[in-house]
Amino acid sequence: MINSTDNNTENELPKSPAKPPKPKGPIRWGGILPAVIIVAIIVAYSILFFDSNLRWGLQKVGTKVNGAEVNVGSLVTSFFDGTLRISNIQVTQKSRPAHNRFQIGKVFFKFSWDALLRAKFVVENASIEDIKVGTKRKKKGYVVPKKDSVLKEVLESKELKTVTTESTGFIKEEFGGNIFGDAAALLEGENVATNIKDDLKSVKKIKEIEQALDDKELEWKQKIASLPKSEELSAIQSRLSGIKIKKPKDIKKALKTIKEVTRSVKGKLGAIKSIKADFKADMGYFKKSFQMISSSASQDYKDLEKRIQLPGLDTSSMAQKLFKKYIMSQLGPYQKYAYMAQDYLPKSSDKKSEKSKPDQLQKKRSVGKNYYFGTPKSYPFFWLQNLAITSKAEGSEFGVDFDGLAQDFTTNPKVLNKKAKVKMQANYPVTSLELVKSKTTQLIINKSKAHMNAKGNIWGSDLAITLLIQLKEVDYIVDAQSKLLKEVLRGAVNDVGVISIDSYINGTIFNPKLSIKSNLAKAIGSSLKKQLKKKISEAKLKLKKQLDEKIGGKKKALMAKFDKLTNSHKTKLNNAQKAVENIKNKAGSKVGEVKKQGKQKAVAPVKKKAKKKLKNLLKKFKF
Amino acid sequence: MTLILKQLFAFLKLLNSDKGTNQIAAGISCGLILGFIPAFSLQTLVVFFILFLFRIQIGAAFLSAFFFAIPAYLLDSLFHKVGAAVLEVESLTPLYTKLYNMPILPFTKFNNSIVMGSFIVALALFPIVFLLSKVLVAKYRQLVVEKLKQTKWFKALKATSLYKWYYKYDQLY
Repeated sequence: MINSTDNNTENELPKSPAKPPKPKGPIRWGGILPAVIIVAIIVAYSILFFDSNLRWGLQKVGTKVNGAEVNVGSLVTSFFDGTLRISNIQVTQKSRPAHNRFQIGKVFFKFSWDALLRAKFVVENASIEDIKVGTKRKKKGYVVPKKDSVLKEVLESKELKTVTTESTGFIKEEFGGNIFGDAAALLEGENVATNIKDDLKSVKKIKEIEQALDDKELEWKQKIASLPKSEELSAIQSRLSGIKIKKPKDIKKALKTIKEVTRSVKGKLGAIKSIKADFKADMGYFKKSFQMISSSASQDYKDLEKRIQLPGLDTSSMAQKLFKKYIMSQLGPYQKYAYMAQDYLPKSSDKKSEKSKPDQLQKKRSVGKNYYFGTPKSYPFFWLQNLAITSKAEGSEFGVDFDGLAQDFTTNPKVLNKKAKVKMQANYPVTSLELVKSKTTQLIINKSKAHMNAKGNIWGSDLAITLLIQLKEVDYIVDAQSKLLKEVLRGAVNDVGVISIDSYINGTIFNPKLSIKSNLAKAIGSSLKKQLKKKISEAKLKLKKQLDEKIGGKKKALMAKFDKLTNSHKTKLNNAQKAVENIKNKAGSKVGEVKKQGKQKAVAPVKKKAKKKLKNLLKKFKF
Repeated sequence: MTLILKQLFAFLKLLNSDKGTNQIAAGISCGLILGFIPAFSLQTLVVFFILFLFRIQIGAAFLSAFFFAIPAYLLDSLFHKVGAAVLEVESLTPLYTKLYNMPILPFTKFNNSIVMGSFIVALALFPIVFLLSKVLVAKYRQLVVEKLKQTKWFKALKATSLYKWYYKYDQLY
């Protein structure tokens, strides 16, 4: 409206000096001064306030992440050198706010400007010096309430819960029980085999056979009852005896009777033989079953024997159980930070992902997709070339002797084609290290000096680290309910002057696999072996005796019952067979008898008559 | 905030005047780039530098950046497709590799599909938006401002002493 062309208005307005407006060029010269001022302000801010603001920011973020106050003594950055120097970092221990978790004297980072100009972070040299653990704070540190902690979200996330549950579950499973439990029981002379219950296979078999025998007994009784009765046989016998030949015409009748009797007897004999055959088969079955009782009993013995074989006698397994908790507890706290950083960590070595095409770093859709166009010699997004960590205890109570070197840690190891290397040595005190703690047994390292030597490499989240720990000047707490076990443990720890723990960690940061060897485990193992060998053989003998007692009685009773039954039925069957066979034989002989009698009865009168007729005939011819 | 408001008032003043059409159109076109590119990157800084260095209407740029950011959010999938298509051209991979490993240029975040896609779309639309803005500004002045000036209430407003004081103030400062 200021350049209105309304003439009326213009006439009414006071006249301004008639200076023609100066034509303005395309460049805003007037803007240079404000731009210079802005740049000057930025430079002044960088010089005067950037360091202190960064320090404040680090403290805030560190406190949120740690869950307790983090203090940064001083922070100095140099734009031209690309360096960052931080001194006196104090990280409060959440559980003991009056103490620091650790304190770092100096931190130095030198970034490569060449990489920074390419939007990459390459740390050419870094060092962390003067580390102290558990120092007392001047002022109690602030502890972040749980609801405000940034860790809360992460810690409550499903994935981490799974990881944590799995790992704690593993620890519970592996270390919840007393590894000397069975050993202690054996050494104490307790009978391990007292747990023999009726769920033994042999006992079950006996019960089965017993039931089958009862069923068979009924069947046999029925069959025996179906055998010919003595009255029946007597009747048959008297029928046979009653056969008499008075006249020749009786022969036919007698023979018919004998034939009927023989047929009947043969039938009965066949039935008896069939019952006998069945009985024989049943006896065979039961005899086999009795043999099976013996084989079940030996299987039961083997099963029970397994119970008294101590897993702890395997020294490598014992070393695993003794020290895994300790080593896992050292690694455990860092797992959560690794979990938090996993989005930024390179993926594990997967040959399928090795490809010549540009890598696609998948992100959420709204953020788009980042394409990586690096060459084998280009910088990865982050590369820590060298990090030296040194610290000298110098007699300080909280000081740590530490000498470590980390090399080639990067977000993209494929670009460097180098594995990240870790090398470290440390001397530190160890207190209250519980190797075994249960109701019955305690093996605790009360105080010791540890020397740790670690060497390894990391590719993405994959680890391969050799960790050697030596514990010197060890002060033990050894206690056990079993006196003998106590002696064994005491003897073993006295024999071992310096404990060496040789471990190898591989797998991933989130799921490390650990194998451990230790001379302490070996000493305990061999000492236990010696003592237990004797006890185990004693226990095995006892077990066998117990088993025999438990099964033997039942088996004997069953066999006796079987024998009694079989003998009784066998006699009855044999008697019946004998009686019937007797009748059959009698019937057979009766046939001859009848035939003979018949002959006599039929031939004699004819002969007499013939003689008489011959005499008369001779007389007629006058001889 | 005061600076932004001042720029916005200056934009309104210039829009309703009869000059600076090119400045306004350039401002709207630069705002298109600012609004479309999602993240703070080197090209954003370059656009700001151009805005400050050349006589481009900054208020128009801010206002259009604000309005173009809304469709840009909805067009993200299109930008992603365009960007991914361009970044996946195999023949251009050596060029991208060179650019990616050069100093400064990685700050443009050109390797991000949305940044690349939105930048290409913004560059393609830049001349169209520039010309269209010019036409629309001219039409606006012709059809809206002129007619407004002829209205009775506007004439009455101009006759008030308050307007005269404002006019004097505007001329002096």
